[in-house]
Amino acid sequence: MISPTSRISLTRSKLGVVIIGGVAALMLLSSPARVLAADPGGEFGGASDSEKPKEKYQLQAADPDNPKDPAVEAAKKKAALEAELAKKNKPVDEGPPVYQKWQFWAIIGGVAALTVGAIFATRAILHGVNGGDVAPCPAGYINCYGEGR
Amino acid sequence: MKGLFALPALLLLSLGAGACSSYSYFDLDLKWGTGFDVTKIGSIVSCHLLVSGAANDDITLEPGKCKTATTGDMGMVEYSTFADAGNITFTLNAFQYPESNPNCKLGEGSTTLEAGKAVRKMGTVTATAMAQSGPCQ
Repeated sequence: MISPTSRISLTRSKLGVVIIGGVAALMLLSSPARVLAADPGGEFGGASDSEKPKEKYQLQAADPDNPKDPAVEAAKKKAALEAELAKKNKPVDEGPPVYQKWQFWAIIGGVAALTVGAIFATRAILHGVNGGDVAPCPAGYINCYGEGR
Repeated sequence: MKGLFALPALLLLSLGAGACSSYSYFDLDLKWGTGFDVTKIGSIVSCHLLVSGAANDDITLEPGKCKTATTGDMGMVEYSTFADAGNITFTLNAFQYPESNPNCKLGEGSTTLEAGKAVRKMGTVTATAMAQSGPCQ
């Protein structure tokens, strides 16, 4: 004969097994659903890109949830404008003036030397073309006359 | 770029080829010839050497040289010119004052020489006395 206490203990052990089994079943059932929820288009989702349209994202600037503050926008624009203006007005460092550079004076000197040389050369050429120097007056002559005298 | 140097070079070549002038020299022995005695030579107030033909000039000779050449040989003068062709006539005239009066012309003589390029030629110009048709006043 089975004592009532033993019946109760049997009942309790059966109940424990049922509870553990139920919990295990719940876990098995709930885990794929979680995976599917986390990766709806993935390998567990079963649906491809073409089948399911992508969610359209909106830029943060146009995000209606994050409306722009006109004052902040105006301040940003002003700051950008000022930065651009400062960039434009910034004096460009071009070094010393051109007349303080040796190249400038070298060119000036070269041009001056060439000009003077050209003038002398032209005069010499023209002088030669025009007969050059007249011969000196022979000694003992009364005088010499004519071209070049 | 080549044209930049070619043009002046061509110009210089053309100048050197034929456009150059050259002096020609004529050495002239000036003399008082027939009719010029010491008195007449001494009365010369002015004398000119006229150049005509391929070259033109009127050279006033130094009066002191003209009137003191009592021996008849005044001396040598040289005339230079760029004329390189044709004939050049040299005429020696002697005058009393005023030379604008034809009666004041004492004498004249000339010689003609052929011009040439860069030549030196010698010649003699002998003036002979002229008979004065009237008084020189």
